[in-house]
Amino acid sequence: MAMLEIQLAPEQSLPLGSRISFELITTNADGLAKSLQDWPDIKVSKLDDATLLIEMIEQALYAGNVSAKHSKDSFVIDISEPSIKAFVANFSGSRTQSIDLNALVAYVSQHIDKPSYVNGFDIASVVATSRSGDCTEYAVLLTALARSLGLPARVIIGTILVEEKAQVLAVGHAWVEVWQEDKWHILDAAMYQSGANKHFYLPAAALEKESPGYAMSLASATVLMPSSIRALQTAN
Amino acid sequence: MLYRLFIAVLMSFALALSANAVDFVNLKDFPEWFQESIAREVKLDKTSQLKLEQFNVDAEVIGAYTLADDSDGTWYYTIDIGTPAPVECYVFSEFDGPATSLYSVIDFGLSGAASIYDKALTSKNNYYLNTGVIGDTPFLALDTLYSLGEGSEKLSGVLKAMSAKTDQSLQICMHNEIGYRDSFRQVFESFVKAFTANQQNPEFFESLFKVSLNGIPMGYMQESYAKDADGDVYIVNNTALLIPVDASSIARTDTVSTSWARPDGSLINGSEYTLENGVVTSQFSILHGDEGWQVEGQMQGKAISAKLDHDGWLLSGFGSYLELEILRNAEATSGEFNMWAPSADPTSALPVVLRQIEGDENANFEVDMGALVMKFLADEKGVFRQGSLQQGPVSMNMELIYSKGEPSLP
Repeated sequence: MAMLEIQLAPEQSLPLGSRISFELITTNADGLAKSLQDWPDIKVSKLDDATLLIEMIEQALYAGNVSAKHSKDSFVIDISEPSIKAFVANFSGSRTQSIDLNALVAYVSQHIDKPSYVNGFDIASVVATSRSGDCTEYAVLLTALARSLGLPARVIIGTILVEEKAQVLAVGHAWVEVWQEDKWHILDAAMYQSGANKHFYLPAAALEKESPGYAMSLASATVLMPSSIRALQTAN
Repeated sequence: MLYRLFIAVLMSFALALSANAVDFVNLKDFPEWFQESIAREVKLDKTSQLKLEQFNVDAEVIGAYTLADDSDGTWYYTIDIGTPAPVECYVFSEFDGPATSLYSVIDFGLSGAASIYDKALTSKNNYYLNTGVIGDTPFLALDTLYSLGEGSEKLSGVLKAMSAKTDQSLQICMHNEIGYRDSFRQVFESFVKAFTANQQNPEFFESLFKVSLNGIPMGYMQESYAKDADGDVYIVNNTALLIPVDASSIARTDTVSTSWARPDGSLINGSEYTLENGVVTSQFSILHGDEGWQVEGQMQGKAISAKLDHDGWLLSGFGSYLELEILRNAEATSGEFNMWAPSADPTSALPVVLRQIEGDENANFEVDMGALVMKFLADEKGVFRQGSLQQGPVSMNMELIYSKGEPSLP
């Protein structure tokens, strides 16, 4: 269900370069173009009402401001829950502002030892206990860990383009943006052990609502995701 | 109707982020003997008289029934239909839900097969998934292709299973034989009809929709409306979904909501619970008190207690049909309402716009829920015939497969 149709441009072979372009088919071209304005390394041109031309690098960083909500204890990122506190207490990495972000990713990746696609959308404290889930569960737990250690963080919903040896896959995905040293970074615990050549992160939107009404925010982000991708090629 | 949309729609969005596609079995990949076996059927010439006083059941059914176990609100029958393995049927007076319980029984059946042959379960694949209706009762069907053991000792089989919830109980049958799908379906239909034959049906309106996500039928939504002596309307909604998230995994969701509405369509009170993969992930009730609309319950294990910001009229499921009729006969082309849709947000009233549309042969109304817009085709009685939502990577379709009566007070 989450796999999107994707086609390489006729003359394009693998591997792709570090900058790519593609045509994105969407039911909400204007909404997605507006949402992507805050990622300056993603260039967007509207080709028609249903098609955007996208040019991007692997990890386009969010340029928006950090705010208090990115550090909050919320219903979804419930850092005050005992299971999250216990999970954070067992993190053995550095707890200073120069914390190694890769250590956070590795810790979450190792903690979720029962990956499963059947979960709908579990909140962080549930994931800490169940140690099970897919990309959304990895993302909420990683966000909780980052916030617990004093790093502002948010959950991003979007599409990941995964370049393997012989094919490129486009998959609905969730990951994390973490604020450190005056800029946002992309962290992805779900793909930590991926052996793919490249991962291109195309955001749709952040999970803005972390209250019990998070489902509508999840839906709002998901409807900005593409229905298919075509003419994928290395950008000049 | 509108109320229930959120369950399937939001579930589909959540699962749209699962990282694998559905991968049903391709028969052409299997040896010829398997392809021939999978197509075989059996002549069903045995019948029995099934009696179960507790559920007012006394009917002739297909197959030679043996009551193998009867304990703790569960009845277990083996049914000889002329195949090497019998059909096995359960009646549960207490159960989780048609989707959840079906999956549990399949798991139990696979464990039983492993135990009988003394071999470990080495693989299982989703083979066939469907939903439909027996009389006025929806069913789910899930066939699982499995292997026991390894190498030259390896055994393969297909476990077919179906579930249906009738008035006071749940019926689940399974058959551990390759092939005989239509024969098994007939036996199951006969079993279920024995439970519905004497069922009381006080509802003045019922409808049942098959729900498909990205072209794959994954379950149903059922709604029923009955009137009490005061003229208020009692509404029951059942949703059961089996969503294949990869070749071998199925996400299970059962949701039951009940509510009361006044004759003018306004909500009096309501409650809803959802099981996901065997866990009660949410449970809510709403009631209007001195302080306004108050919601109580739990979500993912956390207590929820909230007063809605909106203190006015809330549209019930019955009310959505009334508003559709008003809109159809009015000069205005749209109407705005507030609904309580706990699957979307249990702590807020959700603004909803119902709008007439033209120029689309598959739809004459749309429901705008902010981020989500779903189109419907309603007939002259106001019954929704079909609905569709195409946004992002999610394509959801609803097809009416049964209806009785009209969505207006008799």
